[in-house]
Amino acid sequence: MVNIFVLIKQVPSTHNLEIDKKTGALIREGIETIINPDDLYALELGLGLKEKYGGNITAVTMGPPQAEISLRECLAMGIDDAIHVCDQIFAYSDTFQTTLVLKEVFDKIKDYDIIITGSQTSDSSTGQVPYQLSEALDIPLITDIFSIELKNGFVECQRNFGHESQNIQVELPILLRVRKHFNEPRHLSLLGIKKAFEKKIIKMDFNALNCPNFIDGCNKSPTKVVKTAKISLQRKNEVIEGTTSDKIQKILDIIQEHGIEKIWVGEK
Amino acid sequence: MATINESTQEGMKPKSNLDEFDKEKAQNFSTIFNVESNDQMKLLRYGIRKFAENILIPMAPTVDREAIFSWETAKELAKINAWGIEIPEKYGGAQLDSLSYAITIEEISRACASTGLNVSAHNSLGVYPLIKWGTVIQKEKYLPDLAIGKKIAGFAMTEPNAGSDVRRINCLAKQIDKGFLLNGSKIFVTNGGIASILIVISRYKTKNGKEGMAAFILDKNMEGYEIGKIEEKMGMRGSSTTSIYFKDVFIPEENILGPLSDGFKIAMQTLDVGRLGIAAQALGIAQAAYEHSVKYSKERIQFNKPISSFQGISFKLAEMATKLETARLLVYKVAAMRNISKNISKEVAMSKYYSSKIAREITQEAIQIHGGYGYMKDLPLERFYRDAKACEIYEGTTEIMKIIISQQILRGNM
Amino acid sequence: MKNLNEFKNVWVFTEIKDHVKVHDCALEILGKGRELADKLNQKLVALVLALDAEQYLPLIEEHGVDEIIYMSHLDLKHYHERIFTNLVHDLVKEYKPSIFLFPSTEVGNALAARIAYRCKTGLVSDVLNLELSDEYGDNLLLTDKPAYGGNIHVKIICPNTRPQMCTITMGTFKQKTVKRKNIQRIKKEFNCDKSPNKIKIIGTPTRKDKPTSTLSDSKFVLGGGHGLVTKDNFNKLYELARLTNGQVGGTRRPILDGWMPEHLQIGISGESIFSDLYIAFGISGAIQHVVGITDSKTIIAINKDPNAPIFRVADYCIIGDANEILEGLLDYFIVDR
Repeated sequence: MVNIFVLIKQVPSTHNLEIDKKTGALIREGIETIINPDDLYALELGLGLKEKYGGNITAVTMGPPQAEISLRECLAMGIDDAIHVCDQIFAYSDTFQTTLVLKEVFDKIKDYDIIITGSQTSDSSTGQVPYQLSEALDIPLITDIFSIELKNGFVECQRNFGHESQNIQVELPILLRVRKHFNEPRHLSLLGIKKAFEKKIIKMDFNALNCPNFIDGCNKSPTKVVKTAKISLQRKNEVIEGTTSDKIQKILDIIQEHGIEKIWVGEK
Repeated sequence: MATINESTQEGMKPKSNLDEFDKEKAQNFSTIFNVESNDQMKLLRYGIRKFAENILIPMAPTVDREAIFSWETAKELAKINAWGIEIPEKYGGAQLDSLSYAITIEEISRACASTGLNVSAHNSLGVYPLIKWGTVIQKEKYLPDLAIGKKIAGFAMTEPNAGSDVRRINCLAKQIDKGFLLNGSKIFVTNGGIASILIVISRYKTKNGKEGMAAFILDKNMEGYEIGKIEEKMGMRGSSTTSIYFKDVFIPEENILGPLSDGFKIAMQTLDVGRLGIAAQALGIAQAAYEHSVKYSKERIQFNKPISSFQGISFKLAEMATKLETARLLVYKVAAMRNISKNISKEVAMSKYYSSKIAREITQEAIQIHGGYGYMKDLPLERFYRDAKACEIYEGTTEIMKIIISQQILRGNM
Repeated sequence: MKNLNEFKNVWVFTEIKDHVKVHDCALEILGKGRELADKLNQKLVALVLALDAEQYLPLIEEHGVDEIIYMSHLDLKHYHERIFTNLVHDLVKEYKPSIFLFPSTEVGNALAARIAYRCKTGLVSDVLNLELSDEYGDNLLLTDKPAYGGNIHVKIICPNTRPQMCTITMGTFKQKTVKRKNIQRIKKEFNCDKSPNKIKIIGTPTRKDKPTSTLSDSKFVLGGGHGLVTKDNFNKLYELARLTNGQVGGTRRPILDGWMPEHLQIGISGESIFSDLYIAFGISGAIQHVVGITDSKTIIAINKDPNAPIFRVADYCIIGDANEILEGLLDYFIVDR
């Protein structure tokens, strides 16, 4: 029986964002939150593997209390179990701190065969956690796969690596990073939603884990955010007037200014 | 007051099959404030909305323009259990409660009202009577296919000479050996062109002369069952509305639904449930029109300002928002009452009457706010208006709603 | 805590691309690295791991380095996560760089993340800018990066751990040719733990070059939206792109309509572009798309709705029919055949 774990993160839906002036972090109260879009592909891959090979699939997230509804969403998709790593002390952790905590989580879980993540989060978009977790757990990380088969104790994948397309065999346990658009994430079903709320979510707080190197996320993260500012999308906004031909000519001028040239097609 | 869902284990979760309802918990759950903060309802709304935006909205203009019903879309709807919202799990349904049903219909209708009608008519008019009055054999026979949208259900009551005046129906089922022979015709049957299973309300006459109104389960493959032409409608064009003709259709005994003489009662109670669906549909359509209006009025610049800064426009938005809030609360109340098996006849009539009225008003004002663009088919506003109008007519006109309400009032149910 | 003063110098992981040439991004980073090294009055060091590494050194020496630390070995021909990580980590332990910069490439990101973990230090990816500042400490590296879907800028420091690490995307900085005096080449012996790789390659890998022009690398991008109305019209974009060596991209609608494949989506759930010029044809400019185009140097927007939000983020606003204008442009580029 294969044990699959999918790491997800709840992120803000990027419409109206406010920054906490003291911590430089996003004020997470009262705004729409969603499962990080990239993680949906990871969840779908996990569910697909489970449907094909059997086994158990768990969603894991490290986040504030409101992340719970994202785990319910995962359960509603058909995920079997959910783990919510939550403690005030973990707040404002950067990727390194996050990796430390996740290492403890998986050391505690012990029995994991495949851990799947999405490529990056829409809020911090570092993409570092899969690599760092691979170091922390000392398990191989496989990225950019286009097919995967589960065999007894190992996987066979086809993947892109550098400028090669390779067929590889890797012993379990492994970390898989799924790229965007790898598959078509499923929608939530009504029955799934109902059942999601009948399940129990496993909570892990600081006391449940053994985090010797971890002290208060905000103060001990190696990186620190010192300033945040809204990007002003200020542009020239120059309106081009005139007839259609005038407008076309102006565009051609700009194209030329940027050194873009015609490519001669056919014979010259 | 019930607990808001703080921890995972406790908290209000609406129970499944209505007959097995935990009345005490449901009593608490019926408090309307819980709906907005209840995580399960929030996730449900989010899930259906996401589905609607990905699958239904892109198709909606085509569905309307070409008046089509897509079996592809039906399959997608089946994946999310939309065809079996209240059907018990053992028959393949989601076995959800009335509030979940209302929110699902609202969200689907917000994206594509025609699809909302297909789904709501199937669930409330076709499936519900089977759940409520069907024998175990009938349920086992019909519900599994209906739950997955493999077969679509419809309901046929209205006739050319019997619209609001139900008792004028002419369809007659004469008792013969082992069943009945049905003759007559029905008009304006929602899902008529696509329904495999039809609940038909008809007069009957037994061998020993007893007469009354009955409900029968018909299968479109029965000999003598003929589907008429598909009506070209003002709105809800993706919903197939047809006449159905019955020429000596043999109905076996086992296809009688409920007690033979209960046809009228079955019809009225079924329509009550249907009306909740219509109220939710109208709400969804109005919500869509309102959202478009707010967005447009903030983006449209005239006289150097967004038009939302003019009170002529912002007052319209305020009125829309207030009407929507009121309509929604009434829908929630009806759903909550139904969850605890209270009689909803008066309240659902109010809800349908009110939702459909404000839907017409809001969609009309939404076009006005969009000016010329609102009149063009490029934008969905004119479709919202055309779709909304139907809600004041079908499954009981607004006039009938007012009759029902006033009768209740005068009987002492104030 | 280690004595931070022991950490000196600016290191750049000078990636060798496809075992053929020095990655352009690495050369760009060397340009910026020179600036940082000057301000700190410390050395700029290039780190090279490759097969026949010597061949790449002359070019690197043109780009302002004071020192090149390199290894040359057959096992370094391709990136290998264990070998590279172990070697680089050993070098970091030995030489203690204060700042360590990586190109934001498949290899750069992987290696940087792993090294950062091993050194228990911070890593900031895809920075927009780098500077040295005394505001928060002694000449700390201050990095500037976008967050939250590109709506916000954050400035980040790594005050208490070393090295201070970043990855930098192509096109962020400019290459600078500077030749320093007395450049030192330090060849290190390749000695790597030969423990078996957990990833076994079966059969022979096939060469699969990534398409040379992907959206994020493209200098000229043509974006199409719903305003192009029909598939035939949208196809004209491909034609125009072909004639100008441009790249087609678009919003979500063309994908739903089947005019464009998913991987060409520009925006929050798609790619970001860093073009010199971006022309948006019939795109309304919803925020989900706009966040993907803000790094384009110049933006021209064409839409018949004068209130389309795209105009707020465009340098040149053209109120008109995108189809007509597309046709007109196509005429110009086709006519001289």
